[in-house]
Amino acid sequence: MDLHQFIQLTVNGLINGSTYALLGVGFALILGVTGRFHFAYAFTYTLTGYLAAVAASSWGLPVIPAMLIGLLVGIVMGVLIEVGVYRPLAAKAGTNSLLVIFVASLGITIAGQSAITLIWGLNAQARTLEAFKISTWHLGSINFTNLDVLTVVVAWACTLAFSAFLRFSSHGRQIKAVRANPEMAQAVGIDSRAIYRVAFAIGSIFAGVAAILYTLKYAAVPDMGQRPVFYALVVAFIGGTARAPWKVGLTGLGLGLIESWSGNWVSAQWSSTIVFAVLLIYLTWQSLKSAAWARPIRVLAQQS
Amino acid sequence: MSPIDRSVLDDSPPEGPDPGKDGGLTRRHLVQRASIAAAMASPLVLAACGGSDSGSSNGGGGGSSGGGSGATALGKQLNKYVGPGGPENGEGTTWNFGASLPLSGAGAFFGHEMEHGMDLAVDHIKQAGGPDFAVSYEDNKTGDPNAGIQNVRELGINGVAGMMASYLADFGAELPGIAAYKILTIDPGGGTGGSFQEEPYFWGSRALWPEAPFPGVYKYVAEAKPEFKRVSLLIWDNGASFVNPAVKALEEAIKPHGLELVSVEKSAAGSTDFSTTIARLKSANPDVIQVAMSGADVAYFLKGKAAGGLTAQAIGADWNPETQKTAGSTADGFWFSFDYINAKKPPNPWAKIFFDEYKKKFGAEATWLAANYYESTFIYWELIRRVLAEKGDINDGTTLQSALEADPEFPSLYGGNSGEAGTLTFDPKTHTIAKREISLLELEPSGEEKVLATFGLGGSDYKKVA
Repeated sequence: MDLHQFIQLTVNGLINGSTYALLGVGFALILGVTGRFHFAYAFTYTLTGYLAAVAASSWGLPVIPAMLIGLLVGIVMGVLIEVGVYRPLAAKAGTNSLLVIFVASLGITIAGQSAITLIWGLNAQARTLEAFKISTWHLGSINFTNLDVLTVVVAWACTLAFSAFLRFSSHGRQIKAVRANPEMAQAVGIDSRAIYRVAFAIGSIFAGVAAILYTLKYAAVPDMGQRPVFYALVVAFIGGTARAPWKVGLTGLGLGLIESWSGNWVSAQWSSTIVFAVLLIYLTWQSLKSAAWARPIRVLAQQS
Repeated sequence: MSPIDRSVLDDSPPEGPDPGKDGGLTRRHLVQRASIAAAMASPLVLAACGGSDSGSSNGGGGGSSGGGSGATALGKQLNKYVGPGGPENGEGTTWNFGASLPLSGAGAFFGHEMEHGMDLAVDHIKQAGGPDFAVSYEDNKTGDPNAGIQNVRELGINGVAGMMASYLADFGAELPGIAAYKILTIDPGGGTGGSFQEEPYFWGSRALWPEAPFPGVYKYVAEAKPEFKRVSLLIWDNGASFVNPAVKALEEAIKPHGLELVSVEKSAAGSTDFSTTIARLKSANPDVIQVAMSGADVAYFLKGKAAGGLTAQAIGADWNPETQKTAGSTADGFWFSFDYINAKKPPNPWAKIFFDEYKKKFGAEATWLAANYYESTFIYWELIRRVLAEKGDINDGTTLQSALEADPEFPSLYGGNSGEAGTLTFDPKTHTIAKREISLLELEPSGEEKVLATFGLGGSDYKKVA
């Protein structure tokens, strides 16, 4: 194994893992608090990144206001999806709401992506966003950019700030209460529906920040949200939807490292497969821990 | 009440029972069912990637004829280069034509370029006194094999005799249907590649991609950069039938010049993050990276290459203004080589008409993709002309193909001179083109393209320019 390659892959993994942390924290919040399988996370992600790029390039806005507009629209869209789509469907579907909401969110994602393509994507599919000159920094033979450093700093600042918010603020305690038991929370006077809206707003902020960082690094394209939502799902499942955000973030970081280290042995096109393999192994392990038929295996494992 | 097992969710101490959010689900059930949903999501999303099918615009039955009004002024100009019009050449006849293009997904932007090229050709053919092409555009969702198979089935059932393909007939997925329905198919975007030559009813009207330029490119590399010895290949992983011929062609091209293939990196089409690939390439330490990818992937690779401090010379097999916009200054000094046509320097009068009219109609500069699809649509008119002259059936793909095999020469936007259009010649054996001028170009910081060398297929007629 080439040591320089390994170190470079580790640095790459820390950078990518920080992005996965951002995505996972937002997705875990929404799933944990509301129980909604918000696949349309991909759409709010794409909308934020794309709108920020369009606002800067086509509308001529300065970069920071363009980013803020993208972020704001993403937040509003996330909340609107909850209020206008998920909640009415959940009220009607009852015990089947999980599947119904998933299908609805899939439809929103496909329709939203197509709408973005129709409105902005036919004549210029990829939209770039430039906030500053990206320069490469070197530590010996290891390379990364100033944008990579910003990505790591912003990702962890958001994650740690949100962790502190949940732990130390009254609103944070309300969110945790609803996450634990929405009916009990309602009974003690917490407006669960309002907390749901807050969860979607904060989750959309995390998606939006990740989208803007992605757009700065690459470009906004109409289907840019598909891969991130799967990574967010993996991080949320493995990290836990009721865990502290910083713990979920560490799961994202770990996933980034595993994905990057796999490059030592397999070609890069298998990286997504590696990520899903990790999820599969985790879910299989969880099943084995509780399945009755696996009891002999658990006993054997304990004895050995 | 027994505590709920929250081990799937977190490691916090068990709390009381959680009736869940909606209708009494426990959190464990919720996550379990969500994980099932997640497993369902992957194929659903992959299948639905890119959105809906394009609408078909199928005209009525073919073969109706009637008197025509003659060519327009533009049409008469075109007649000088593409042949005559009139009722004996199909004027007044409606002819069903199909296309399987990437109208959604990551390649949608390029699919619409292809569509524009065909639309313009259909309009020009009519103006030049040719038939009415009733085109059915089908969406292959950027090379999705299932979508491609479905497209060919629909076109075959609708009785089209000719069809334009892309992505090497969806990387071969469409070929069985093309042969079964006997649809004369031309792929001006991907060509036949090394793997899909000699396939029944399938022809490529561009140089083999990505391997056709290799002999000329590496002759130039050896002459201009004798210090370059190590070559890496970065290629889309579209299966062994695509990758292996390209690797073999590259090895054959570099070996005579003392260069060595030190690594082959594969990438999934549509990738944006090349950080792992860059790290592996740096480890291989090449002097040259031959890039066998297309579209935005090239731009993202160049961005990653710059960020990763990889200084090897990148040589691409594809380039277009959209890619240039995405790559920005990271594309400075990039070399690329393929059968490329420059809108700013049309090689012949027909090409000039094409570029001028394209800009007028669509408000943007045409790229080589639009040019290729435009040019190839005229091939079908020429075949219809020949079949009509023999009183044959223009709605029979076998008859059209026989006409192509009997005379494989057609007017071309490439080559030629200030007074004449160029010539495109097919090889009846391989079903790919037999002759094409290829350029090796360098992107300068000003955005201009500097010609480094020109050569034909196999590196023939090689000329070092810069």
